[in-house]
Amino acid sequence: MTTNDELRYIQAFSRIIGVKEDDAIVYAERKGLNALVDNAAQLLATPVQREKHQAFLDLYRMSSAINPRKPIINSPEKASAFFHSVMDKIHDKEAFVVAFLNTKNRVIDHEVVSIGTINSSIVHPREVFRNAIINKANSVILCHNHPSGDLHPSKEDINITQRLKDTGNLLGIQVVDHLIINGINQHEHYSFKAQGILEAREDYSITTSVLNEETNYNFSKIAKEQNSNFNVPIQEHTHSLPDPYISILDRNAYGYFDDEMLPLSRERAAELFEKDLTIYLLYEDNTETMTVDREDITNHGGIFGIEHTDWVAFKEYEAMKEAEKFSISELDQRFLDSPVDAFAIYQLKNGEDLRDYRFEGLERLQKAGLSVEYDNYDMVYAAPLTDFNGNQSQTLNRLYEQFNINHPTDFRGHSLSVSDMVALKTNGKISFHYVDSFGFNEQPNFFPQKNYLETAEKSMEQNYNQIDGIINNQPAMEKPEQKVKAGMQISGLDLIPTVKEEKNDKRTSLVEQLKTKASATKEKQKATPNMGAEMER
Amino acid sequence: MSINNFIKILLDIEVNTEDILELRENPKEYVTKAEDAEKLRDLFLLMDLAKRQEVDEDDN
Repeated sequence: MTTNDELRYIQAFSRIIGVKEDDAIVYAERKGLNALVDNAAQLLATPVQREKHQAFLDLYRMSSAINPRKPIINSPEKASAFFHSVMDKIHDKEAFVVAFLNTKNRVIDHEVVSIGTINSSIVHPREVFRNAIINKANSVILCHNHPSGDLHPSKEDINITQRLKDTGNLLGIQVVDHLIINGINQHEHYSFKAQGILEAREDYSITTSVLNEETNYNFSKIAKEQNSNFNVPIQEHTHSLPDPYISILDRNAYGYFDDEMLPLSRERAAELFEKDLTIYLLYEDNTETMTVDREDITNHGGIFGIEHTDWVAFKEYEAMKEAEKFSISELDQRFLDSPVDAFAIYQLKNGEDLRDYRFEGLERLQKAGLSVEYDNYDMVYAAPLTDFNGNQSQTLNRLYEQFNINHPTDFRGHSLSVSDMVALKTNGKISFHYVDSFGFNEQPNFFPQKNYLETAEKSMEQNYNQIDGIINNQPAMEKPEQKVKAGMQISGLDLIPTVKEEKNDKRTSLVEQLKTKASATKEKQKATPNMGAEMER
Repeated sequence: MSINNFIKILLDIEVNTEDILELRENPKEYVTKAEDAEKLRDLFLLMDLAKRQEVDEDDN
């Protein structure tokens, strides 16, 4: 970045987050420019600034995740849109551009190979494939433009395409397509793939341009000759397969042999697709295509697959989630039982359903008719509070700072922010504090109250632990009213047998109820004339 | 939290889309006042600069 850019950055940051420009400059000088994004807690003096900064971080991460410059290309239309976006400034000159794709067909990078008349001396294979190798590309898409607007390929275009395709085959980097676009109509393109030119040279018979082809790319749909001739895996995998109803032998018998691809039935494929895993449609000629939407699965007549690495990663993720679930409840208990002063941090559970709660101040939350609920939170961290000085507010502020600037290495939550909860256990008393837009707000009812009657029942009852609010095996006792009349004290437990008796008086067993209902229904059926028979008559 | 909410917190303006790419490409389409579109451009500029800074840092 130039100094000017750095200044623009600081100015934009100051305007949007609402901090003084001078303060931001001093801060950036002291801690580095990146600290404005990564480590700005000391600069952010007010809760509003902190809230804005958190919103900026979230929006920035969201925006980075949807990177418009690195799309997945799975059709000539998407390829055309991509090349138009990167060639918009050179539409008046003939230019040759190559896009490098990874195994998921996402663009890794692109390169303008030449600007000017396209001929084979300029578009040399080494120029095209040099960066493909550096970028570890799985495949490439070529594109050049015809400023004249005529999309017909020249003989030279066809020769270059064939030469690059042959080179790609040698290098193991597939040339997926070669597009010709123009700068006049963004929706028009010529696809060599759609014309079949990339499949077989003898098919060359170009007389007209094919515009707006609807053919989708089957990027990986090339026969894997090496695999089908040699190295056909016949061993079952030693690890568990994603679908118990279909084996590797089934997959091989079907005609698909890539051992990195684990087979799936339609149902399992649909299930895993819903979990955002990449699913492939497998073909009997040992080729596959990536599933783009749910309909692909419905319409495919064969079997499906998932890459081995994806499946292993998914299983590890699931196992981690399970382990976390366990450790969360354990953490909860350890905090509650802590014999010394301690603190805990609760953060909202992941998931879209809590979107309206996330980073909302208490006032806005309540205005929206929502409330702070224990069930929405996971405890993400708990530790002893070693230096509690009796000042709760100071302690909370110190924790806020620590969990933004210098959080412990084993802390896996996000930086402490609005909508989180901080629990303090000091002198045996537990209090819960909502991180609000302005400071903290104590939530005395955050933690669910224990049902003491249930606890008593669980510990005392011997009737198969039926938790029905009744201590069923208590011996008959004097009625509490009589005890009171006699001047004796009664406890809550004294009331329980009475409740039971009262309930027993009113309650009929379920079996009894069903028996009564069945006989009543039979009686009713006997009494009701057969309407159908009546009608037939 | 939605993109709408983030933008409201950051710029105190309302946008009528949840498509951040669209908003970046055509800010005028999704706000009522020209000055709001300027605020959005400012925000996206900050994001771009933050990204560049991140990339520079990666390179160093």
